[in-house]
Amino acid sequence: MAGPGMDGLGERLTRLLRKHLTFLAPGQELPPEASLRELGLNSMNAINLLLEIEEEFGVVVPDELLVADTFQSLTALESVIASLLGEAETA
Amino acid sequence: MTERSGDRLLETAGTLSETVLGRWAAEVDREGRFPRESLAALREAGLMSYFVPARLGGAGGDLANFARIASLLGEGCLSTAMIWAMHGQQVASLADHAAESHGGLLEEIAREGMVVGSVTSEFGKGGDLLTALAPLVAEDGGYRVRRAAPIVTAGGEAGVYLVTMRAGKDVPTSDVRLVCVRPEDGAVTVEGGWDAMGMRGTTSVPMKLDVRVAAERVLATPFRAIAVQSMIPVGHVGWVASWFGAARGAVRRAVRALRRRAAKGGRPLNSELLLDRLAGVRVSLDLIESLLGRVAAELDGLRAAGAPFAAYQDIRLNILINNLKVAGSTLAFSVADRLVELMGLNDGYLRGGELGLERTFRDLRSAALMFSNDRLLAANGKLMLVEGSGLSGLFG
Repeated sequence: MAGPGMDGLGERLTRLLRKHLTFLAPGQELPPEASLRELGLNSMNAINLLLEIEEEFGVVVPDELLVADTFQSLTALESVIASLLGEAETA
Repeated sequence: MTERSGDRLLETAGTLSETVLGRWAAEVDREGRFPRESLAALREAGLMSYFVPARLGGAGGDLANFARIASLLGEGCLSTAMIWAMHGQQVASLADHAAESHGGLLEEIAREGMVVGSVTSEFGKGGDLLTALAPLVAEDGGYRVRRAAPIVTAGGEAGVYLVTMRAGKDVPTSDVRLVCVRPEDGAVTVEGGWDAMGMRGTTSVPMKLDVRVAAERVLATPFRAIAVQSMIPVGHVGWVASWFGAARGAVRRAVRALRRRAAKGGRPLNSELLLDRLAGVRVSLDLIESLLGRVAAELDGLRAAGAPFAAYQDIRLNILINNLKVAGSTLAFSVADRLVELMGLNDGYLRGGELGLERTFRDLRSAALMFSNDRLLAANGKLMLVEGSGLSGLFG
């Protein structure tokens, strides 16, 4: 998924995600397909997470991508952010 | 509810507020005790079953009249109005989400009129209504409910408590269930007192629960859905209506006193400052009433149409419901504050005055603090940032 120049995207996202996932023990690995909801992400801290991601990566996630699917799992989130970063690069 | 039975309830509430609630309000405040005479009168008048569906023996009432009744009660005794409104929150939650599974309990509420209390506060989780730490633990085919709560309104006085518990020890703190607990289930104890600045009759005491309940006592609907669809909207409407009533009652009493005194040769009523201040408090009252009516009508529309859960998750609606609480609490207190100014030291500030303004002032000071305005404004700010998105329904 991660293309050239995007090394560490998954790690950076995991770092941001971790503090909102109350059911992911410190040091426990975040499985890429695990349900973020089941790990403790709720709608209010999803908004906090979103704002942190936008600040970290310098992108704005458009309204049409702010849907449940985007926040399904690390993989889903990573793919959305990667594509936004790609757009930013080619723009 | 027919229009006629609604009118009758309003008339009853108005009469009781004046004759019973108003009569005991000062003593209840002074002694910081539960307003048992007032609650007994509401029970006798059938007002405790307001949200119980008609087929189960209640009034099956809507939010518009709920607000009107709470306002009338708030004029007489704000502690009583708040206990009644919070009871209504609980009964509406049961009626909306457990009318089939807990029909017997709703019938009992209609018959006996006992207070249904709410146990949602918990040490260590902050003020977040939608999370719970203490988990349900399976025991003998039922569940052990063991937890403490720092603040339970009408604690020790309720016949049933609806208690938030984490669904299990291995699930997120946001996976919450609502459990019906009765005092006779086991150890349901009051652990302290309630010596507050105002709202002193609400006896919002700390409690401890350690009981085993049958599995059926746990409502099947996740608490988040109950809270978003019923408990929060009904609560905000009921609280604001109560505060509005207390402020409106204080204004009425002040106006009567001003006219009486002027007629006896006291302060003349043509003072521009006085008229300006009086007109100013009316602006605040009208603003609260208008927002209250609007939110109640919108929610009644959703309820009558049997709107799906998603409709209640709408970001715009949630901001509006939060704003009702923020604006209502702030404006109602400002009315009491300005009345104290307007009436002066003797009629406004002294304890035991016949207008009771000092009590209303202390009571309404609590309004911004319960379900804290700071928290609601922070939530609204965040919601506004993503208002155009589908984020609200994310994890419903």
